[in-house]
Amino acid sequence: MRVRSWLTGAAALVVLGAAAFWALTAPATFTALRGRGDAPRAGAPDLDNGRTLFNAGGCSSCHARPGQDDRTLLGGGLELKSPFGSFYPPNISPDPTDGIGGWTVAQFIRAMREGVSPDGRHYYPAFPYTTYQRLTAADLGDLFAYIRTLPATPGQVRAHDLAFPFTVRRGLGLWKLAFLDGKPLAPDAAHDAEWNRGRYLVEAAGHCAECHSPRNLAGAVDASRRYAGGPNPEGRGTVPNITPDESGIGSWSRDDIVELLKTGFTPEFDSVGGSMAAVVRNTAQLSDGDREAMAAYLKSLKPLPSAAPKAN
Amino acid sequence: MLKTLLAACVGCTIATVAVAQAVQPIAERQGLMKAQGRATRDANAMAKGEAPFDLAKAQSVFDTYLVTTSKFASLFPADSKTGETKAGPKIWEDQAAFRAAIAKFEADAKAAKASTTDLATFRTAFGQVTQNCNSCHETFRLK
Repeated sequence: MRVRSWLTGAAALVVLGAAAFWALTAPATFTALRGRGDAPRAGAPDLDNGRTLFNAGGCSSCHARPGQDDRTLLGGGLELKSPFGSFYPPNISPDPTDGIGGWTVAQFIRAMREGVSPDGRHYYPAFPYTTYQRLTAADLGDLFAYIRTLPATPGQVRAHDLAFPFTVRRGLGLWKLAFLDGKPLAPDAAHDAEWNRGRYLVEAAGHCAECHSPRNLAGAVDASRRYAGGPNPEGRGTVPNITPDESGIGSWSRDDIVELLKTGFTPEFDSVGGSMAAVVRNTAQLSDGDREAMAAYLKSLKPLPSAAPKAN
Repeated sequence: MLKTLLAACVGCTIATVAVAQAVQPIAERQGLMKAQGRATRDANAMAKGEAPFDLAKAQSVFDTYLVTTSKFASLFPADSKTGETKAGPKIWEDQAAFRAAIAKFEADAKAAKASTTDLATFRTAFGQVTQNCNSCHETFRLK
């Protein structure tokens, strides 16, 4: 009798636990808890602004079809290695069936901010919605409109190649409750307009922190060491510290940072390589004013010792 | 006992030689790249008008690049993949592509030197040849 009541209790707990998991990990729960945020503005989209955000956000670095030079062919398929397995960023070209040509602007904004697909599945945070959630709805509307002017590229990419338990997308609901705060980036009145623009480009669009920071065991950016560099998530080697510490870019002038974002050359006239080469192809398209603003913001970061391991 | 000791000594010597072999080409190729960086910095100053234009100096920039291209392919033996290096695995996975990238850089540097006659032609030539930096590092270097 006693055993049976114990068993009933345990079974009830398992059922309750499963129900709680199911409820907490539902994409709708996240939306209910965090809210929807601002709505896009009415009227014609600003395509020039959309193009700026496309370049600042580095969409093509991951979504351009690999093995060719056109940054606007967003057929996806590049292999992104990570400690959890390999990701294959999807087709985000305006193709109506294989890309995002059939999406509404609301679906696009939800994908960028909440990391949820139109059919209600969680995206993996290799797609940096932890950064893009800070973009204003007006900017997201312009970006969506700009992407829709690019060539439709048919073809779907292969499925991600991940190890269990990372194959369970539903679990990302819990990850988001822990690491996706859903907050917009409010302008900081203590700083000037240039700094605020720079912060917006770096923190909401450029997602510099996604590579230039160490990550915790759950794969989220370590907030206390943001921008301090770290191991290369794609394999051997390290990603540099970009805080103004002596182990980072403390010796760099503002012009040095602007030059790197424009030409890819460091102050020693080394040319950046690896995945940073593609980043520079994007930032080279920005205005001088936007590169200056990014440099101003990066120079204002708190200096931190490098988080990169010493040995290669 | 003696045999074990001897074997260990031989093992140590072989290991030391192997490490020495790997370190030497790494240092040499990094030295070539550093020299290129210095030449590129001077060239950039001239192209931007921050330093006076000097035709002989401008052409010597491309000579510095050609020193690299003449030696570079031989400086990546199989035992120099790891250690204090940012060389990417593609160098060894696709040696033909790596050699082709060096050959393209060499051809571009030669053409740049030949076409440089004044500041305007230097600017164009320098801009074109330095495209190689970015494209080669993207594929063949870790960062």
